Amino acid sequence: MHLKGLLYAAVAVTAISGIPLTGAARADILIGTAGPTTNAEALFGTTWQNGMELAVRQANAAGGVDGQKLVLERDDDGGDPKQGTLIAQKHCDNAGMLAVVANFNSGVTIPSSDVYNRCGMPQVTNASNPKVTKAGYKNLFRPIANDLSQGAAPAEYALAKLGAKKAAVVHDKQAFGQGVAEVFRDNFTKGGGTVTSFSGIAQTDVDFSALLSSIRAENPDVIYFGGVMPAVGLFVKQARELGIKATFFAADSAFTPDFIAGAGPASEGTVVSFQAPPYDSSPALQKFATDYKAAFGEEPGPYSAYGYVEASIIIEAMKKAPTPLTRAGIAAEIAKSDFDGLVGHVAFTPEGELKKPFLFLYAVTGGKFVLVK
Amino acid sequence: MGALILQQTINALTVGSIYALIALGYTMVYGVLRLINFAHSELFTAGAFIGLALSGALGVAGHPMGGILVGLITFVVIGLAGVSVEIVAYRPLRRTSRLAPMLSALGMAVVIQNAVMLIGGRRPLIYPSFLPSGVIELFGAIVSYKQITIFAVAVVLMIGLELFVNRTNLGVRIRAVAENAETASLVGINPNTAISLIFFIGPGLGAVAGVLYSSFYGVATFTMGFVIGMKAFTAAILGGIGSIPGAVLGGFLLGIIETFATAWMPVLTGGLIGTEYRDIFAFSVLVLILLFRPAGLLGEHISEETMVYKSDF
Repeated sequence: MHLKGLLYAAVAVTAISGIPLTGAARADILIGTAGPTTNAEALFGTTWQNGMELAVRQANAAGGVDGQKLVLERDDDGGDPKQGTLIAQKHCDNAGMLAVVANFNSGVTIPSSDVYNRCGMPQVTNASNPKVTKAGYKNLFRPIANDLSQGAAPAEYALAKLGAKKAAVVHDKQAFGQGVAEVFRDNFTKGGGTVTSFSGIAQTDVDFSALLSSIRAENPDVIYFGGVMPAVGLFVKQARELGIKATFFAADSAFTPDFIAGAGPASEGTVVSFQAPPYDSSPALQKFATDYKAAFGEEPGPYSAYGYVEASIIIEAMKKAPTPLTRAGIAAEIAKSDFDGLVGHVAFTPEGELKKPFLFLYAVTGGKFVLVK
Repeated sequence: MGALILQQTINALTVGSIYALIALGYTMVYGVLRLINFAHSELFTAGAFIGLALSGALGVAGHPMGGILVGLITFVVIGLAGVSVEIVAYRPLRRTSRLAPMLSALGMAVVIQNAVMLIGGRRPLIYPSFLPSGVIELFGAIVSYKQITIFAVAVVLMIGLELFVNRTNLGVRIRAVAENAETASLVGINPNTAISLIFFIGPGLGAVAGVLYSSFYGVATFTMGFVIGMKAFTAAILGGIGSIPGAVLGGFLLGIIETFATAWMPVLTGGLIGTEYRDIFAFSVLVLILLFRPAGLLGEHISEETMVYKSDF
């Protein structure tokens, strides 16, 4: 009797959970997304997906696509490649799923893109590692600056605007950190500067005094740090305590209030590269920030505008693609994208990279990130 | 060049002070119980987290005087935690094989680390400093008040411990139990009191090291005890495990070896071996010392008699 009861309950639960799923697949157009909404990057991932959600809601309010409603299916990959590929397979197997915004991290996007490519799923990614587009998949698009521009712009700025001659470069030996540091080094040298040292640290290091003492003796004008939090915050703080006066440069991973809190007053003047302009820098972004706050009751996160742009790219393509909508038809339309998005003009090279990548430099001024370029 | 050597020496003494303080806990427990207390490094982490909680609760972040209060409370709390760990995990196993308490110690380490993670969270926490800020220039090198404070606190605690063990009644009991617990109990010394005392002082010092460490670097993570604990353990072996002056010497020596090797290996190898390999030096030292001088630099002289007594304990 007891077992029978359990069985009935199980059947009932399956039935209840099954109805909305099959119902959605028949009537609505599904857009999938996967990003870290748990773990260290939860804040980034969640607010990024909220940006997409906003784009989908606005499209639905304007009548949807061909009278059909759009539904965003949000998944959590935890920044974990294993989880990301499982979700990719799930999205592929869902016939109603016509495009995805995935993933947030390069380490997840690279393996998941193999899966999405096999089922021809249009994939718009937020991952910045140059390797992401190396496979040459025709269904993969990146409407965000890759790390090559992220190392190049600071080098150019240091040489031209700050008149820097000597730079010390430090990285954390990870794909991202070392990648941007190498690009910075190469561009700085090419521009006529001298790199006094190029050193690696361990990602989990907290004591940089030995390295910083050597760097202090080199007396560089600027120091570029390719790495993530909390190392970057500790590094800058300890450097200032040792009396190093050089200007610091860091990549987008330092574009977080934690960096300013962690490094304290030492963070002042640090130049950080980031893919999005501040939310008060244009009327369109101001409107976005207001809409976002109305929808989710909080300020937009650093990548919310990107989530919005990435979902918009898919929605724009769906509007133009031949009906009935297919994955291949949408991918072909995304490749032809040519419109002004929230942060800049969206148009892709044949490799799926932006024709003109957006990149902005901020400096910490008065405990806040202020746009400098 | 001279300024750079001086600067690196100052850096080395700072990190060495912390290694030495933690190493004392390993060496005292080993000296009496012949047990490597693997939970020690996690009590170090727990100490840092308790210091953080206290600084919030008492509102004393950034006040050196408040730091002394926080240090004292943390010492007592983690000291009591250390005593409880001994009673729960080691005492029941004291008369069994040597392996059982060691496995129990590893288990305790996992338990404490997970408790810290559940309460403190997985993310690295920004740590308010209790140390005074400011620097002085010394022959072209920069010495911060923080570094001076860490060194001073460590030296004071270490001298205090040395005096306590050698000049007080309780210290005599500890040494008697370390020499031979059964004979000590014949003359009316309760070994459990001495052992509890050791498990109070050792983790207490480790907890103070945790507060100093996190205050200095400005961050606390629930995993931070592992590597630093291994290094302090190496320091204890380098100096001669079981010996209090040995732990201090080992801590400072390890700090010096590590800092100078980290600073100069990239220069000598043209960047091939970078500072990311800093941990290798500590563990290379461990291997070398075990190969060539297993008793450590100031290791206690082990006669055959004491070997027999202590292996029975």
